[in-house]
Amino acid sequence: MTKRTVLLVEDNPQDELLILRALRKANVPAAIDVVRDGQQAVDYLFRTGEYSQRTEQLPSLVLLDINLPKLSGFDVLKRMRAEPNTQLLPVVMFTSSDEDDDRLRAYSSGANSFVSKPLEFAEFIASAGVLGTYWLSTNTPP
Amino acid sequence: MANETPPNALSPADGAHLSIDLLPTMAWTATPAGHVDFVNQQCCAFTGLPREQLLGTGMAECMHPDDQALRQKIRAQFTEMRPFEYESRMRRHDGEYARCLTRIAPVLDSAGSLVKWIGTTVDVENMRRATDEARLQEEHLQLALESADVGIWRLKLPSYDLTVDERTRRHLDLERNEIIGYRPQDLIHPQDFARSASQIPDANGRFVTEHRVKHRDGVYRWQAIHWRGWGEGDDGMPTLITGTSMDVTPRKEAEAEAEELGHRYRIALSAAELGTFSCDAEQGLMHLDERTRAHLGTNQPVLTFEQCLACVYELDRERTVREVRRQLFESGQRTKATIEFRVRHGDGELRWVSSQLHASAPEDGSDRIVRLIGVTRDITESKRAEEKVQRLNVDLERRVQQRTAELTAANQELESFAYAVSHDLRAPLRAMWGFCDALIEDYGHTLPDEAHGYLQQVIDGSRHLGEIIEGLLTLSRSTRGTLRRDPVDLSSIAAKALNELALVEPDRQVTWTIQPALVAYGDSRMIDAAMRNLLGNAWKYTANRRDATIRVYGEHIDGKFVFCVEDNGAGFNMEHAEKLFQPFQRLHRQDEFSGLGIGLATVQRIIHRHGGQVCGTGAPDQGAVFRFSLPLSNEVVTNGTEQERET
Repeated sequence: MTKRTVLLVEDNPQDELLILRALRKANVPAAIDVVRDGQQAVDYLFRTGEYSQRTEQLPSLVLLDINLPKLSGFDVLKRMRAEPNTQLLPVVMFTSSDEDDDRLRAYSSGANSFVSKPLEFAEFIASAGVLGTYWLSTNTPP
Repeated sequence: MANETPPNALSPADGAHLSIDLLPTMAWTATPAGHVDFVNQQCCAFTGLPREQLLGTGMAECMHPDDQALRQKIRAQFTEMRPFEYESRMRRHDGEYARCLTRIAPVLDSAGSLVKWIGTTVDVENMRRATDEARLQEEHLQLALESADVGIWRLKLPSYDLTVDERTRRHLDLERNEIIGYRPQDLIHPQDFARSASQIPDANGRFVTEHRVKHRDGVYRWQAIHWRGWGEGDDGMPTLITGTSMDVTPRKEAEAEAEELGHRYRIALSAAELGTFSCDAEQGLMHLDERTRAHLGTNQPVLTFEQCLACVYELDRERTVREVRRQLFESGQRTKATIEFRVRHGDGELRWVSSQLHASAPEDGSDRIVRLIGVTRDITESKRAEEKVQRLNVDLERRVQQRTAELTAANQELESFAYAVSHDLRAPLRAMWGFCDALIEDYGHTLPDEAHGYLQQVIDGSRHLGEIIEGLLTLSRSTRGTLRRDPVDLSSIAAKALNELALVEPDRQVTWTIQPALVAYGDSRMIDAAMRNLLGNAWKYTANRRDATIRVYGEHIDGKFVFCVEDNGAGFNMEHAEKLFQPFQRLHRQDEFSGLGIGLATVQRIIHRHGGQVCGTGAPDQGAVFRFSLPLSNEVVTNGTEQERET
């Protein structure tokens, strides 16, 4: 079985630590690659810039924050949906926002899911676990 | 006719014939039967006929053919023994006819028998003519007096006996045509009497006075009286005064009206600060009154067109001429033109003048303009005010735009602030909380109980901070977006909210009454949130009461309809009422009633956004009433006042 990868796009190092811990605790069966801004995410996905030498295949899931330096999560999502390679890649907007506007914009931009980061850590682990399990195991990619 | 004596036979015995012959008038005698038997010399001289030709019927045949009918009557008169006379036209020696008066008398003897007729015939032509002339003149005079309605009178002095004709009697409204002891001072208006009495005669010794005379109904009528005195009495006064009278009331009233009108026009012109001018187009001269002169900055009362135009500020001249041409000559009306132009005054100041010209065409119907009359007005102040208003409007518009832009920017800033709060404050909070959890989970077994207690405090603090952040977000979201204006049924919102609260806490015993059909116009999402906050509070603060009651109703306060949410719960002290609607301000401790203090702040923001007012009244342990107003119709709200709604 090929090793699955999850790309986490997260600029907040504390959130990054918490998410990684939550995914680990939830036993999500995947390696986690982390990039810290929108530009890095785009470079990672399209093998450009600092990731031009990357040879690994595309990740199986992208956990994408909205508020990111350089390019926002929406910008990244837009680029992904415009490229054939990444057009169908599952993207979960995993974000601090629980604004209706953001939710609507995320879904209409082609996000597969919109999950608000819970404040309480126990919930956080549950959410991360559900995400990993659902998108990597349950969901059948198109 | 008998012919008993020969004609012209002058009997010497009849000496009378001789004396008749010498009479300066025509004279003749006739027999009792009327047969002329003698004519005197004058008859021959008048007719130019010899005596013998006049005897018998000769005289009668000299009568005018048209008067021949008279002869029948004359013949009849001869049968009676009475004097008689008649007038007839008689042919003179020159063939002309003259009117003659003939008188005939019988001569009787002592026995009373008719002896003879004696006749005289007088040429009255000249006399008649003079009389006719006099009558004609009299008639003319009467006609003149009548048509001019002039009456005549005379007054005898010093007795003051007045005699008047019908017209004067009417003019003076006298009872009779003769008044003994007339007292003019009783009838002439006191103001006019002194003036009339001190009149000085004209060159012909005539006096002319106009005075008011009191009629019997008490009304004064104006009389023009012409008079003169005759003779001189002992006191130097005339012994007779003759005069005419004429009722000039209509003229006097017209004059008074004209004077009154003139006076009014002068006052009106002065009050409106209007100058006037007129212009004789044929002569090309403008006549300016004093105010127009001031408006045009000239001291010349008469100017030519060119001089007048030169008064207009040079930059306005061409336009002014063009405007007058256009309005008077090119438009169909051709009667009126209104122009505005500037005039440079002596001190260099430019002042605005408005002028209206009225043109009149000649009566022959041609399209020339023969006369212009107009007014001028200084409109500098109103022009300046107009300019100021325009400037103010532009300024105001600019400021409104600026403020709107500022406000929009500020609102956007607030929105992004709330957004930032929602994200940026949450992340560190999440870290604090999350790492405390991680610490407990991974290393909790190595920590003493006290450390566990401290970590729990951090977690509690984080939870509370999280709630506050949620509250802030709720508050900022509550009035975000466009305000909709739909009819909203507050009664059904209340029923739904209370039923939901009862489902969540089925153990609570709460009685509620809701007045049906409470409808406001507004944003249903916001009003729903406000109602849920108010009802949630009422639900929460009645928790300690067994007979918890919540009422939702409408009422009029000071003529204004308000919606009310009332409970009989914990209430509050009115001394702290000003804190009610401030965010995160609470009137109860957390251990009494938990809460963030964001609910009423949300309610107030929503009500204010709708242009309404909200207030709360209460007392400790005696419940609270929250009253609020909302638009009751779909009209745009102004000044927060709402139309009344029938309940």
